[in-house]
Amino acid sequence: MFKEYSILLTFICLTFLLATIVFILSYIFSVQKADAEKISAYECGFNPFDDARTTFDIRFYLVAILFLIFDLEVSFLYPWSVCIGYLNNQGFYVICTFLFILTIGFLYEWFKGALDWE
Amino acid sequence: MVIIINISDIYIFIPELYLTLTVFILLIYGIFYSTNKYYGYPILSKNFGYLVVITFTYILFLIINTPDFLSTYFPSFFFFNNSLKWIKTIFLLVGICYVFLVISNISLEKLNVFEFFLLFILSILSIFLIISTFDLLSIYISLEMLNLIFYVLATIRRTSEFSTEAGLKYFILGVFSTGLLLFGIALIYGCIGITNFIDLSLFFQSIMKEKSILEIPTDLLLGLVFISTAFFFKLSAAPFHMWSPDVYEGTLTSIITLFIIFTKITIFFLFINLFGTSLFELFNVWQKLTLICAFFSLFLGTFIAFAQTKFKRFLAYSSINHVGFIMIAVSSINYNGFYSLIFYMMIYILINLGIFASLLSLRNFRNYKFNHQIRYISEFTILSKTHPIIAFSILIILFSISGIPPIAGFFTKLIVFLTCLKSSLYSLVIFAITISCLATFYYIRIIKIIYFDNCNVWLIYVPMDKSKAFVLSFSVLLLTFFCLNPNLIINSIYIISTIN
Repeated sequence: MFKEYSILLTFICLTFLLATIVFILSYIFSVQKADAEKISAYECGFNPFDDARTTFDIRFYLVAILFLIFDLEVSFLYPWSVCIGYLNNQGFYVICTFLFILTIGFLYEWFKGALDWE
Repeated sequence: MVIIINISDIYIFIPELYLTLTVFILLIYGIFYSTNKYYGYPILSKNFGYLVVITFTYILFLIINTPDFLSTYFPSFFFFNNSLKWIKTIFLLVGICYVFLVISNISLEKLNVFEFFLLFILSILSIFLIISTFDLLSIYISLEMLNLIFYVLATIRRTSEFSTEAGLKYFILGVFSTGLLLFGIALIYGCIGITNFIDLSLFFQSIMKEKSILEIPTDLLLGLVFISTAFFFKLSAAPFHMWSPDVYEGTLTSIITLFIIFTKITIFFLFINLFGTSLFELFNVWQKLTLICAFFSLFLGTFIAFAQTKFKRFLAYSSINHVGFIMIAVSSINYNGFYSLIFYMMIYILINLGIFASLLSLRNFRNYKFNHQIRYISEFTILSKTHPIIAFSILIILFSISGIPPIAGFFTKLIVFLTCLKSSLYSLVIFAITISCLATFYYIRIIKIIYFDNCNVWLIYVPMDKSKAFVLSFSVLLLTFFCLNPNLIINSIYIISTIN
């Protein structure tokens, strides 16, 4: 029924196969003799001073969320910019209102201090 | 498809346009003032509350003065008719009452974010968009806007783990239910390629003339089931009610009034718009769904509420009970069903305004900087001696919830039962009557705790402020004296339900 998807099926199976082969081969053909010294944590030759884990800084998450919002804004701008030649005045003013609403959001975010890294 | 936004659409859209412009201006005002070192970083939350009241009165003026239309706008995504004017007026009045309830609790609870009322205005905007949707896709957009605002409002108190846990639960489960809604819409669109309500109603009217209900393709009925499941989820109707007690207990009491009052009413209006007009021919299917939900809601709402010791969880189960009654009114497919539904909604609004006015005013006063909201039902104990008027108000409101005449709640239940009998749902009526008899037990138990229990330590409460007293007296007086002159409410319901 869906003959044109057979190529996709072979593609999926081959990639799956390749990934598993690469993963399993390294596990089979490597020499593993675990020693207490070999698998301990490494910190420039000394014994580790402190735990290697730190608390996750929430600033990274904030940057990711802000990037998402403004990246989506830009991705809405791209198709508009391609076809603006065929649109009348309405096309221009619609994107003006869209950018205006997002600018207000940007002002809010700026003055709340979300853009300061400290 | 060419989307043309006519200039005549603006006349209908003016209230929503005014709301968006107000949000922009208030946002810029709030952000530039509250982060300004020269003014000393002022706390603008109460200021915003009064500004919201002013905004709503202006919008009331705008809405009452819109000319009588019957049209769709933003090509058939939204519609407008005269009854929508009065529904929006009711929402704005309830919104103003909500601001009166909450305005003094903000300083008591130290909720110093000005965005709280901004989000409230935005939620009213999204409610206006929801009740005027005319397309399956705009249901999703406007409903998701409301839900996003409520997810943020559920976690407005970021320092309380209780609140963030409740908000996270609400977010995850709400998003899941929106996924179900989208899946149902996709199934319906995939089957017949129609999303507009007018096209849907024409399609089903022509189909049901020739075919029977069994010949309708399964995708269509499955889409219907998924959409109604998503709506039941948002309404916290059983068996999809699991999130509501936890969420209602965790979030702030000021915000729970918003959740309980506004979500139920909007989604019931949406339900009527979708299932009552466009998918009306499939009533065999959705009547059974609403009947099952009504049965479970009544059953679970009463029986689980027996074991509750915290007041907000108790209110959550009580609202599940209310939703069960409204489902009975919805599933009786006659015109009186719509009438009784709006009547029940109005009394439900009054009941909830009253109960939250009394609950929000009971803040236990430890010292001048530490007061907390009472949480347990057993903390109501000696209220009749310390606050006799609040105790009497709670008595009236609990009588109304349990349906004791001559308080208005009795008449709502009476009319719901009569419409149900008219469409021959006899066993459901018998079941609902026995369930409400059982439910009166724990409402009367609270009254007994208020009036007849003794305790050694009497709690001191923060005095009730004027705006809350106004709302409490408004609701209690309307509930008690409804029986003497019901025209006040009945006329408005008549206007809403007959203009269509």
